[in-house]
Amino acid sequence: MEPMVFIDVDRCVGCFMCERACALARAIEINVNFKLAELVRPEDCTGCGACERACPYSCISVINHGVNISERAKVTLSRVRRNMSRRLVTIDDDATLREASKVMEMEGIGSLMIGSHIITETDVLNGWFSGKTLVKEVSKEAITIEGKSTVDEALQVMNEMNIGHLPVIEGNSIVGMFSIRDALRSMSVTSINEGLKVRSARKEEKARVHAMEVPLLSTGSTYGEVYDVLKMKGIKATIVGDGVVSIRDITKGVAEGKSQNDQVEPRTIKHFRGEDPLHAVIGYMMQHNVRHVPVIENDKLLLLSIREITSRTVWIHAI
Amino acid sequence: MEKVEYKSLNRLKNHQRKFNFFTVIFTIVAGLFTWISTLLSNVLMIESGMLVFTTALTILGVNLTLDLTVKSNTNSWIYVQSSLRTVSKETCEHKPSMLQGRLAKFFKKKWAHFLIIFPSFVVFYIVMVVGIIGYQGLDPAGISLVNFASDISWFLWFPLLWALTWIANGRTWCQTCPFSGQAEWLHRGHPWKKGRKIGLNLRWPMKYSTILYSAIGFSILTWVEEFYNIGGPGVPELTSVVLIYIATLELFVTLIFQDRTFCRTMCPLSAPLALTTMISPLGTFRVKDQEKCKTCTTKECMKGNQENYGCPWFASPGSRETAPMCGLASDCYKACPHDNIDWNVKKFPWLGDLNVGRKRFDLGLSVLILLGVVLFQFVNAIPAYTIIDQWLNHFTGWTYFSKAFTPGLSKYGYSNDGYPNPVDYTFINAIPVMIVYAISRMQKKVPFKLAFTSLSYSLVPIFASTILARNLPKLLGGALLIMNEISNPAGTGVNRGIYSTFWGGVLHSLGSDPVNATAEWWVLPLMELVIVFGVFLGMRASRGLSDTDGLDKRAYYSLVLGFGITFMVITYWMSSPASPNLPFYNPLIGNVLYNPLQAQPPF
Ligand code: SF4
Ligand code: SF4
Ligand code: SF4
Ligand code: SF4
Repeated sequence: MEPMVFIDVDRCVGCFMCERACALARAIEINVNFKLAELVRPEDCTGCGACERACPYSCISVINHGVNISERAKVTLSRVRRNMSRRLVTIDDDATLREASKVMEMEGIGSLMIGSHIITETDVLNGWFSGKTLVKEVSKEAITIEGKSTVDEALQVMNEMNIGHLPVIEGNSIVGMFSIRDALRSMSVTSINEGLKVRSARKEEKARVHAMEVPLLSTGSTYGEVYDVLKMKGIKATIVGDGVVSIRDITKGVAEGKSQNDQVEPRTIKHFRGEDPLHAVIGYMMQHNVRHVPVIENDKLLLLSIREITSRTVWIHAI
Repeated sequence: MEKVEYKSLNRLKNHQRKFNFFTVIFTIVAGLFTWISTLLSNVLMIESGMLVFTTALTILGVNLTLDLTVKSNTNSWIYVQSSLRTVSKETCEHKPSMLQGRLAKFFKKKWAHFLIIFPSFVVFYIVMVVGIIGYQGLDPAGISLVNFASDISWFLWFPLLWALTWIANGRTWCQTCPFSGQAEWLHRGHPWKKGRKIGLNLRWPMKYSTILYSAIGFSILTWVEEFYNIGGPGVPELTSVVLIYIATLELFVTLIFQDRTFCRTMCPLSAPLALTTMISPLGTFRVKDQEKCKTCTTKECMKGNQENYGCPWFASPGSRETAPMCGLASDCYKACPHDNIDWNVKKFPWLGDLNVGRKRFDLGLSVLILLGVVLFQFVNAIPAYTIIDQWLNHFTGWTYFSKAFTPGLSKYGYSNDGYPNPVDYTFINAIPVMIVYAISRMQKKVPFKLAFTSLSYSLVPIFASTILARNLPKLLGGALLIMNEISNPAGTGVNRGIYSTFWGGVLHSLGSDPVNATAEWWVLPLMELVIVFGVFLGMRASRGLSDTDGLDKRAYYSLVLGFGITFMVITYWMSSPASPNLPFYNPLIGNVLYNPLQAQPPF
C-alpha cells in the first residue's frame, strides 16, 4: 500500500515547514510560483507523517495505513538520485581525444557528456590506439538510468552492459552521473536489506575472495603493450613491476602527451594480504580514491578491483 | 487492494461523513422549525428559520455536489494549474508602508484589535435592539425612513462596504466586524489576552475547504433580503433578525471549528470582500522579506507564541496568493519575532494581487455567481422584470407560499406577491456563469478550467464597481436621514412627513426623494462613472491576465466590455422617470431615451 499525502490547496501558504520536515525523503516541495506545497516525488514518500505534524495550519493529511515506513525509507535512500554525483562535465563534439583525456584527468572522472552522448576512458584509449583524434569519432549514445531507480537496478544495468557510468535522467533532462564508485559509496550510507533480495558484504569476508589473477608485466613496458594486454584480457588494470597500471593511468598518459612507445609509470599502492578483511580494503580504496589494489596471496601478486566487488559480492541477488 | 485503500481512507472519509450527517440533521431541524413557524404565523421565527435552513442547505448542497463530481479526497479541484508564461514580480520596494510611527506602535498593542472592533460592536448591539423595539411602519413606497436600525444598515453600512473597495480594502470591514469579533473573544476566552482556545477546534473537512459556500450564501441571503425587502430599507425588525442570525451562527461555529473558519468559508460577505480586496489600493498584511521566512523555523506568525496568537485566518505569511484571505487581524504583526511584517499601500491600478500564480477555480466561480446577484439587482428595477416575475409567481403558485412566509407584515405597509420568484432569480444569477462557460469552451489554446478561471478574474473589477454603483442612490439619497435618528433611534413619534424634519428637508432641497425611494439626478452620472472606472480596471486586468495565462485578449475584452456596457445601459434605463408623458416611452423599459437631468435613480 502506497502512502497518500493530501494537501489543502485552500489553506496552504507555502511556508516551507513541510518541505523542511520531509528532509529525509525529500518527497514534498514548495512550488515557489504558486506558493503551494506539492508532493513532487510520491514514490519517495515514506508515509512518515512528519509533514502533517509540521504544518502549522493542518493542511496535510497523510494516510499511511499498512505502510512499512522504515522499509520504504530504505528504498528511498537507495535511489540513484540520492547517490549520484550532480557534477556533470561536458565536452564539445569537436574536441580532440587528448583534450578529453585532459579534462578527465583534471576533474578526476572517467566519463564526459556530449549532449546525450557519452565518452569514457575506454573510448578515449580505443580511439587513441586506433589512430582516431576527435571525440565525435568515438563517443556513443549514452545508456541512461532514471533517478528513481535503485542503486541495485543501476548496478544490474552496468554489469549487463559492462559499463561503469550511467547518466541519470529526471523527466527529460540529464541531471547527474552515477558511477560504480557512487554505488560503492552508497553501501556505506545505506544498508541494503533482504527485502530487496540483495545482501551486503559480510564482516568476515576476506580480500582474497575477490582478488583476481592478472598478467604481470615487467617494469619498462610501454603504453602500447600494456593497453594491448588490458584489451585482450578485457580488464581495466594490471600489475606492472610491483605497481598498478589502469585505464585511468593510460588516459593520464594521453593527457600528458605521451606516445604509445613511451614507458608506463606504474603507481605504487599499498599491498594488502589475502587474509585482510574485505571491508578494510574497501575503506582504503574509498579513502584513497583508487579502484584497484594489489593483494599478496601465497607470494603471488593478485589484483582486487572495485568492479569485482560490486558485481560479484555485495550485490549478489538471492534468488 | 481497493478494500485496503478504502479502509485506510476512513479517517478522512469519516470526517466528511460525520460533517454531512450533522448538516443533514441541522437542515431537517431548521426546515421543521420554519414549517412550524409558518403554522404559527410568526414572521420573525419564519425568517430566522429560513436563514438557518438555507445556510444548512447551501452547505449540504455544495458538499453533495462535490461528492458527486469530485473523485479526489482533497480540494485540489479548486486549484488551477496556470501555464505562467510570465511571472509578475511580487515585491516592490517603493510601496508606502502603513505601519510607521504611531500606527506601528498601536498595532503592536495587544488590545489594538479589540479597540478597533469595539465601536462597531456597540453600534450593532444598538441596531439589534432598536430594530426590534423601534417604530416598524413603512412609508408609501414601502421603505422605513425613521428607524436607525434599518437605515444605518442599508443607507450607510451596506453601500460603504462596497465603497471600501477603493477607499481602503474590502477586508477592512472584517477588521472591524463585531460578529466575528465577539465570536473570537469567546473562542479565546478574553478580548485581548492570550489564553486557551475553547471549543472543539475541528478542522473543516479538507475536500470541502472552499469559499463557494460564501458566494452561494451571499446569493441566497440576497434573495431572502429581496423577498422581505429587508434592504429597502424595510421593516426594521427583519434587519435585526438577520444580524442576530449572523451573530448567533458565528458564535455557534466558533465553538465547533478552528479560529476564523466561519469568516473564511461560510460568512456570506467573505467571498465578495475577498474579491474586492484583490483590487483595492490598500494591501493586506504581508511579509517584507520572503527569504527571512524561508529560514524561520518558529513560524510564530502562523503558530503564535507565549504572548500572541498566530493568524486566525490561516492566511499568514500572506503571500500574494493568500492576500484575499487576510482579515487584517494583525496577530501576525504582533507575533513575528523578526519584525518582518508590513502593511502596504499598493501602486495604481492596484491589480497586483489579482493576477497571481495560484489562481482559484472556486474564486473564479464566485465572481460569476456574485456578478449574477448584482445583475439581478439591476434587472429587477426594470419594468419588464416585474411583469415576468409576477406572471411566474402566479403561474408557479409561488404567491401562495410567499403569503405563508410573510404573515402579519402588511400591517407595517409591506406587500409582496412573491417577488423575487426563485426561478427567475436563479436564472438571472446564472447568466454570467453561462456566458463565461460558453466563451471558455471556445478557447482552444488553454485548458477549459484555466480559461474559465482567468476570464472570471477579469470580471472582478466589474463586480466591485457595479455593486457599488447599485448602492449609490441609497447612500447619496438617504444616508443623511440617519442624522435625524441619532437623537431618536427608535423613530417613535415621527409621524409628520419626513421632509419637514431637518435632514429630510436638506435631502429634499438637494433633489432627492426618499419617500418615493429615488435619489438626486446627479447620482446617475456618478453611477455610470463608477462603472466606467470598473471597465477601465477590467481592461487593465485583462492585459495582465492574458499575458500570464495565454488566452486571447479579445476574449477578456469582449466579456469586460459586454458586461460593462450592459450594466451602464441598464443603469440608465432603471433611472428613467418611467413617465408615459415623455417621448420614447416603452412600458417594458420605461423611457428608452430621456434627459439625464430628469433621472430618478432608484434605491
Ligand atoms: S507546512 Fe502546511 S502551510 Fe506550510 S507549505 Fe506545507 S502544507 Fe503549506
Ligand atoms: S509523509 Fe513523510 S515522507 Fe511522505 S511527504 Fe510527508 S514527511 Fe515526506
Ligand atoms: S514569524 Fe516572521 S519571519 Fe517567521 S515566517 Fe512569520 S513573518 Fe516570516
Ligand atoms: S495575515 Fe496577519 S493580519 Fe492577515 S488575518 Fe492573518 S494574522 Fe491577521
